[in-house]
Amino acid sequence: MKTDRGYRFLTRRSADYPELLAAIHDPPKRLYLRGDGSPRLLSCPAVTIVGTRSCSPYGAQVARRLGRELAAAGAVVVSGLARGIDAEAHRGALEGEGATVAVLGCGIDRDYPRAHSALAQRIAASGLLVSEYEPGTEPAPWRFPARNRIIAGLAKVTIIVEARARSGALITADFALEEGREVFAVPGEITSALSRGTNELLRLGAAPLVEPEDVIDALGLEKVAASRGARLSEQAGRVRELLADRSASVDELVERSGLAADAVAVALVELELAGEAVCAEGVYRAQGYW
Amino acid sequence: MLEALRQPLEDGVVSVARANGRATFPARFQLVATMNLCPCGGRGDAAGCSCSAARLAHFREKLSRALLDRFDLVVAMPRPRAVELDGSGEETSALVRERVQAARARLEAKPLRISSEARALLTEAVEKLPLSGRGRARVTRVARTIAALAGAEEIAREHLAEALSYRIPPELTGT
Repeated sequence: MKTDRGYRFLTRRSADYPELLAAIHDPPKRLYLRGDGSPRLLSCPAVTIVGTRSCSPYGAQVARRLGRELAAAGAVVVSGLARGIDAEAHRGALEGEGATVAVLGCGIDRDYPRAHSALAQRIAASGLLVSEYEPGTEPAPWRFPARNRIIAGLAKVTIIVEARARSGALITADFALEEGREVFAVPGEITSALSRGTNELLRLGAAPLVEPEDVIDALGLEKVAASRGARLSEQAGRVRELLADRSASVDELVERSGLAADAVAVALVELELAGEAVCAEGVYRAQGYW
Repeated sequence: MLEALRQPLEDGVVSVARANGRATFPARFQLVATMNLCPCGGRGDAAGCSCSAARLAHFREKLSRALLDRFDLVVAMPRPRAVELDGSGEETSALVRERVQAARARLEAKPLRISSEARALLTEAVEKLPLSGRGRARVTRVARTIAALAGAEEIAREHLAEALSYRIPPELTGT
């Protein structure tokens, strides 16, 4: 159905209203849709990936890779378009050339946060932006917890990547648990405030997410054959070994590898292009081993 | 203020227009700038950072992509370790000056060509990394300088790879 101004929406009676969402305690009466994705996307095997907005480079890396690999395996990646973990999950899904759905706490015509309007457009090109609020509704903090029940409700599996002690992502996890959905938490360092919430979830019995395959199995999807194993030069292999031990800056890698600075730079670019390493804030991390 | 630097950076002149006329001043300069990773300065430190996501985003958005796009070299500087602070400079400025002058002379004598391996790497990088058209041109230019400093006959793969490592990091452009 469409509103007067041409916005599509689903009602509880629509054939395309997702079954999983209909099963939650208080499903939204209407679901407004924006984007070129089919409403059927909302009924495909989906995974929710959420977490803190002020994430660490570690959290960003994990969210991006999960988004990419799970989307590539055919899961619809659901998140909330927020900064940090949410945005990385959406970006990963787009990189994996899969579908992604952003659930907003405002009208679907309001890109919030504004800095993510370009990302919202990319999502809309192949996926969907959805909201239970009328188009034109402004973002308001009190709407976000309510929005989280839809984020959790659309997916069979919810993953919390990084969350502080009282993070909004934990509300999403609570909704998922209440509805009997599977909840995974990404283990973090016990000394990091950004892992307090996720580690607490683990203590309470959430499944630890150690590799994307854990979720692919839970969703009943087939793992896509890894395109890894690109032949690396000897030097790149050596640098990768060092990064697998622990992440490091270029200077540390020069010191630890005994290679010249330019040789390390060449190796790092090779690893980045092969998807074996990522760099954030001057620190390189191995990707192949996670 | 920062955005006002864009024109002089590109054109090497500053134009000032007033009601009673217009003046153009020479403005060829080298721009060197530093910034913290976040407003509190703690990001990347063991002690950690207390900035909210919105504050961090606001801080980074102060630098427009158009301005960032005009920096040829971006180097991340993780906190130096004690041993690095102790170390004395390995090279004197006079020595570096000699090398730079030699590289300049080399570039003036004959332009360095880009090798086919380097070109292939550049193509792969443009495909896989977020690299704008301006970014591509800049990487090539930086690679040429690196090759000249190394006294090479052409721009080799390693020169281009090193140039790529100085590109603008994605966390500053929000991609």
